[in-house]
Amino acid sequence: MFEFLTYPFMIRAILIGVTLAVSTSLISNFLVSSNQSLIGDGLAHISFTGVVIGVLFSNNPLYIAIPIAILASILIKFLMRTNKIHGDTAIGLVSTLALAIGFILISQSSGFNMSVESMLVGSIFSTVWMDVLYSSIIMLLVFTFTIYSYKHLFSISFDSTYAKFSKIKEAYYDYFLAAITAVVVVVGVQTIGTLLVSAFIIFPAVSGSLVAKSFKHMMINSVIINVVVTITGIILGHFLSYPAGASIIVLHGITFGVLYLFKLIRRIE
Amino acid sequence: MILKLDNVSVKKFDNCIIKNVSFEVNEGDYLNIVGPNGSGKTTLIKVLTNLTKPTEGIVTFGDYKFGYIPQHLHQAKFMPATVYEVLKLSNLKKVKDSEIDALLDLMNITELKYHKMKQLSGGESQRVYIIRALLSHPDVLILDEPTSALDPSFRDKFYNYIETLHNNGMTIIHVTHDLSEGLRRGSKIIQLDQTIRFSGTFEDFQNFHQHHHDEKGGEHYHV
Repeated sequence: MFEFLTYPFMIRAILIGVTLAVSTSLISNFLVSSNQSLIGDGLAHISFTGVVIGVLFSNNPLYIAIPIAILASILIKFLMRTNKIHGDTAIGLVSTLALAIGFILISQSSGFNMSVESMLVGSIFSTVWMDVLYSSIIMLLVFTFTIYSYKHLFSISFDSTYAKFSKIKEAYYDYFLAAITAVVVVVGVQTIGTLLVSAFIIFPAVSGSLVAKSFKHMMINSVIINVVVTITGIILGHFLSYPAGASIIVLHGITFGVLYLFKLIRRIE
Repeated sequence: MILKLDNVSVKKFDNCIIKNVSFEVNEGDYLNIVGPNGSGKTTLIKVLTNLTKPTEGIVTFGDYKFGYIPQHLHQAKFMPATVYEVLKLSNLKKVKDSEIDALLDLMNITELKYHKMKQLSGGESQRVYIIRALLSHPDVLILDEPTSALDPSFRDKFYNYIETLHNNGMTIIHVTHDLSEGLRRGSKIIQLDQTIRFSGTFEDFQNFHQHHHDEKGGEHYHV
């Protein structure tokens, strides 16, 4: 029954899934709490174009896609912080523009050898060990960043005005969180797909908060939910021949629905 | 000198919110800044808390630690942060649990320690913000309409506590739209309406308005 665990592609899929699940859930708590859930979605679209450009001009698309996504995240943050336009608007502007450029590049180039569908829903079963290495490094990076900056990220997410007053370098953490999200998203887009990356940034934190007694509890819940859902989704995808990314998102949707109902019922009681 | 404003103006889209405001706060002062809604109090607080830079003029801050109790709570609505987490994590320096417990007790909200912030009433969360400011051990405390959400029975207790802090050497800057609240305590008063309409002691304030009243038949303030 557990024969599938002897396939290297399956082991790689689970390792990449779990490492990215941990990275995204850690970040997602701060993003969702400070009403920035859409930034993951926006950056996923931008990374799509980043990866397209990377595939066209380099042997390793990450070398080009990561700097592009970081620059875009800084641009989005800059637009959001100038207060001239609304935060969501800034994300919408930059991300749709980037996506459009990506599609133009694909249509004009004969050398593009990746399927657009696989970039959207991911191809987690056709990864290489190098991808496992990248996503593990990213997980370590995010983990260190979260532990090291937990206190400040908490303050900023809870009350950014007071954080500024307390002389916490709010702008620095804001840009840094966006940039680190960009890096996670790029690695995610290449392996688990644009769609799943967006879901990874939103679902775990929201579901985790529904049954949390504190913010710390929300963080732990989100990591557990994301890891369990991801492993289950990959295994289900394998046995039912569904796209793994899409299965994970549907499972996340079900988890959210169940927890939401649970909370509603408990409130009525 | 704790802080000094020298001809400070703040403009927003060509609108002058505050104009040519100058005053100085010194160690041990208990300053009340009063003014009606729309008089620029909020903007002045942003200048005093160093959250806004003036368009014109100079603000000088002395080497003191500032504490701030905001009126408008910017807290994240969907974040399940608890009272304890907010108090433990909101200050740059490490905060001792025993200190948190003592202040929770003082503010009568010990039982709310592990409650989520979003479940608290306005008055309860305001008490949390008072504790948050006190935990930073400030030399100067800036209070923005601190009792607007507190019930009257707790209001007196709160002001008595502020007075104790003041007697122990803390400088207080108290901003309110409620003139009677502003006039009951403290040593100095500034009346703001875009620019400074009056600045001085209580006695001066009474005389000023008495004079104003006699001359123009305007409003008369009772202390």
